[in-house]
Amino acid sequence: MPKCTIDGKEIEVAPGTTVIEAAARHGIEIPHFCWHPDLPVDGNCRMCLVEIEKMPKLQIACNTLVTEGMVVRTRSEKAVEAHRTTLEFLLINHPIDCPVCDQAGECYLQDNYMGHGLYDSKVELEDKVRKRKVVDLGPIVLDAERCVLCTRCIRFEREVTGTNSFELVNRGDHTEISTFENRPVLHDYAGNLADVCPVGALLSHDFRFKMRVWFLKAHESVCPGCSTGCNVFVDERDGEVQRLRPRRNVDVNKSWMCDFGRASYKEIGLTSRVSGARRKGAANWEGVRVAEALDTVAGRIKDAGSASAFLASPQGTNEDLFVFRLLAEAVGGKLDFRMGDPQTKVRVRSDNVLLREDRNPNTQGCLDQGLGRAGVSAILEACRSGAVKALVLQGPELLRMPEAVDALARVPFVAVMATHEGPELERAHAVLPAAVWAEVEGTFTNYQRRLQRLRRAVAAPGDALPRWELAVGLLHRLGQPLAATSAREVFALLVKAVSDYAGLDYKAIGHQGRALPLAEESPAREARA
Amino acid sequence: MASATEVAAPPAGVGSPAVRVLRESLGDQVLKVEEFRGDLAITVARKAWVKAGQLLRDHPELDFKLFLDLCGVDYLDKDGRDERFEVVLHLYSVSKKHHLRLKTPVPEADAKVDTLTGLFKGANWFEREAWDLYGIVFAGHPNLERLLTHDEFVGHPMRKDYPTARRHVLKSPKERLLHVPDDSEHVLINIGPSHPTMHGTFRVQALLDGETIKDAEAEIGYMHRNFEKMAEERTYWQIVPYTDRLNYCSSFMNGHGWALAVEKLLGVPAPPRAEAIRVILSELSRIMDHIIAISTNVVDLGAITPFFVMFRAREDIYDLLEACCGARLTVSYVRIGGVAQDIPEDFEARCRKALKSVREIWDQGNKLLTRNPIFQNRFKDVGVVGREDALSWGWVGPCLRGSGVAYDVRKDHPYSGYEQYDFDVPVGTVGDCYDRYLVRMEEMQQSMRIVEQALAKLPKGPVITDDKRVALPPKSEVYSNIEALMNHFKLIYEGILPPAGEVYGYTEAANGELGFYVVSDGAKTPWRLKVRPPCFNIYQAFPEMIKGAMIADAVAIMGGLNVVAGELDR
Repeated sequence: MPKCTIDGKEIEVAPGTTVIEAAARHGIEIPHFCWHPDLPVDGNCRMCLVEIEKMPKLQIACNTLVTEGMVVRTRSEKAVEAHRTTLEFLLINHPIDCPVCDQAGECYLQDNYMGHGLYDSKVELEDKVRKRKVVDLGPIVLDAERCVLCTRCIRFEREVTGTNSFELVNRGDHTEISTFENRPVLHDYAGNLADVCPVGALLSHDFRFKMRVWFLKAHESVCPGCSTGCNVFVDERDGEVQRLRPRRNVDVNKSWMCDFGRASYKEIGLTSRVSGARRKGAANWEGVRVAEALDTVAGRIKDAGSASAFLASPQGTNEDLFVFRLLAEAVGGKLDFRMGDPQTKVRVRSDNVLLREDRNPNTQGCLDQGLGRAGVSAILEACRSGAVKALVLQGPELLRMPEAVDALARVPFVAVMATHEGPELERAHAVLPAAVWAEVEGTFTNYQRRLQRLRRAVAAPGDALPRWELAVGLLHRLGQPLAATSAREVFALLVKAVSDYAGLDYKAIGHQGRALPLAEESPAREARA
Repeated sequence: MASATEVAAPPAGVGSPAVRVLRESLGDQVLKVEEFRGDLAITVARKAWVKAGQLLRDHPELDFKLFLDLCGVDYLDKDGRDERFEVVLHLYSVSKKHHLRLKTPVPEADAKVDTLTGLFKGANWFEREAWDLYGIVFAGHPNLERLLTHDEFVGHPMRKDYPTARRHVLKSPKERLLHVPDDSEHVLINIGPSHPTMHGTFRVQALLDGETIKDAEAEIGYMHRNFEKMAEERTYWQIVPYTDRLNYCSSFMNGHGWALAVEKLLGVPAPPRAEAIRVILSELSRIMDHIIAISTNVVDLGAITPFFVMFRAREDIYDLLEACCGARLTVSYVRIGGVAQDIPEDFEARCRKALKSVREIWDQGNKLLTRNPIFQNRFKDVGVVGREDALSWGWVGPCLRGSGVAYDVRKDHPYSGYEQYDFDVPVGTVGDCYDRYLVRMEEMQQSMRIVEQALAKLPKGPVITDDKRVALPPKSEVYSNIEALMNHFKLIYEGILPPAGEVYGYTEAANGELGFYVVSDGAKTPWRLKVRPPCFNIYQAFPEMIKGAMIADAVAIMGGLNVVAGELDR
């Protein structure tokens, strides 16, 4: 394990580590453009030049391996001068676009100028080379003048998606980034191009001119789009989510996420959110307070006793699932979770990048907690035969299944926890308003059996509550109160009941999640259809 | 930022008698000694709090008799701290010319610390404010009640987890401030809050025996806007307009003090021309403030003419300020690192003309008042405050100097180039209203003297630092090259990023030492900003001063203290 010294700090690293990686892992910032921890090294920008003892010329930190006894100075006079002049070169033809460029606030040029530049310009505006601006590439907008030719986009397309959309064209001062014939970028990972571009050359079409990033507050969470569980940041301002972007996790999604997940932020703040409880009166729906609706639902569950059925949703957090299970067990009702699409294997990929076929974030959590008991078909049969007097749904998926319509019609009372309005909710008799993933604290278990934390980013609309909190309200009314008033407390109870999760708490899960072993003997294997 | 060639600095507090004395007596209860930008800060354990204060005050080598400030700080869950809160005390030794910061950590679960009211009279209101805003209990405090927020307020607003926008409506104001026995024959009256003699909204409840005040209690906070919490969510620049609204009678001086505090934190000085401009405008503002103090005070006594005469001088000064920055009252002219723009070309000529007019007006005011028998009757030997009390209350400025203590920050700790100007500091002998009047009148003369010298010596050069991390680039650059544009962008949306650390910056404002205690964690907004408002300590003494006096005397005293609500309540 070679030991080196960077800016006076002694650092030990694994063999094969570059200087810039070693520095980054120990909080030492080396300015750069073309280096990216999840892309192959290119070494074209020359910004990360550092002074290394015994080497007469400055070396690029991104492509120099750490050797035993190496002494590096990132802020020596020569290094500082190199950073400044490199930046000056890169800015020679850069347009004065900051007021109209979305990248402001997360721009490497701006940040590097303040940290490593602070010089006066020598270039006249009229002398700058002009290039193409506002080229519509579909989900991405290209502004060639702003490009610093770092080739991150080219390397992304080559290594991650394999689509090779971008290439450098022209020569010298007129070199530009381009797609072939300006064709749009047509894969499902286009959003990452805007993330990977250190400047405002490639920007998100959806986010264009929407919000200045310095107003945004970032919250750590996990995308609910599929069983991969890409780590994300939820960027919001004043309680309104403005965008999602990937949060780096080497073991799950590196620095990427797919475009479906990215776009899912729009569903959070829709006006079609269920924000209040309602129950079916004699003729019409009547809007009621959540407490009253819970009274009604609990009453019907109590009457039904074991002639009740509970369908958990793999959209729910582990905390949601746990309390729901307790609810089912409180009255001895039937319990399962497989609704909607036929069960897909949790680990099956949809493409060769990130997406998985299971478009639910917490199927693995359902499996780990042993929620696959009665079998959905068995439950539906019981409904058809009139044996189910109360059916409680943790999500509305079953209400949308055509094959379930007849079964539902034979159930005298159907309660559903719903996040969004839809015609399917007509089939229920009570609707409880539920919070979505970005509005709750909780955990998902992804396809790797990695527990990952969601942090609450925005408030749920109106009276909507986390699903676990609704279930706690029902338990309380069934005479079995739960000693938990927060997701953290529910999790503490959960880990006592799920042997594989024993000893874990939110702190142990941390920011990057905690993976559990995928033992073949473990009951929590992928479900068979 | 340490470089490879930097020599290791000596441990903090080396050579400081305060550190030595405290360590000798308290041993390991002295938890930490820090030195940053010339400020000495000593942290002691809670149980040594009063003992430390007493040693600092009474030890002959230390003599920290002037009680400046006491406040709370909420560190929430910052790394490296076991306790959530900190109580911070600032003291000054007039004889040794030394400031000192004493701190003690206070845990959230047992948020209590012993009161210092037994040592310093001034501690009373400061501890009430820390209780009000932070929920820290001061054991042994005679009346630990809310001070700046009203009695129906719920929560402690300066805590980091208290949402800035949450408000509480007061449904029924507190009728009784004083406890009066039912069979009392005395009359209880309110003086204020809406009374012309209460310059600004202040309320005093007085228990009267005829016209003599037997007991009095003050209620403040009518103008509390929680500027300090606002400051925690504003960049260092964005705070500048807020400072205007502290002592708005001399608004430029607040900005001056703020800029100097931040420049101290940054280690970035303003260029000489900027400092000279600041001195000129600060002294002119001092004249304006003293005119208000004096002329409105005598209006309360029935002398209207001096008000009309002397306010004319304010108009001349307002015209000068307007020529510099476009505003008369809330000027926002100062910038971190200098001033916003250069003074106009004809400034010197206009200023000299204004000074001539101010001198004439001063003469008229002087003729109307100083030897006026009615005035002398109302002011002489009224509201006497002795040296010891003044220091214990934490009095500063003309009020302190009226009581015979010759402490003026401009002389004792010169800033902005004051050391190059010749001026005297008038000091009283009796400590009555008349002395405070005389001090202010003479200070106006000295201010004019300073302005003339500053004008004569006014250096050429830039009016703002050329440090690109602090000052905006010129607009001509911003619109024509990318470097200046990016610089401008970063400074606006991110602002100045000072190093982590804390400083106490102080200047001689019109009412005395105006301090800004700034705690920075390296972010673009300050973690904590405590304004050390001179008239807070001064006004705290008022209820005690008027006990045994007649109402008419209370009126005479009030104006002479020059309490400005914007500074008092923040």
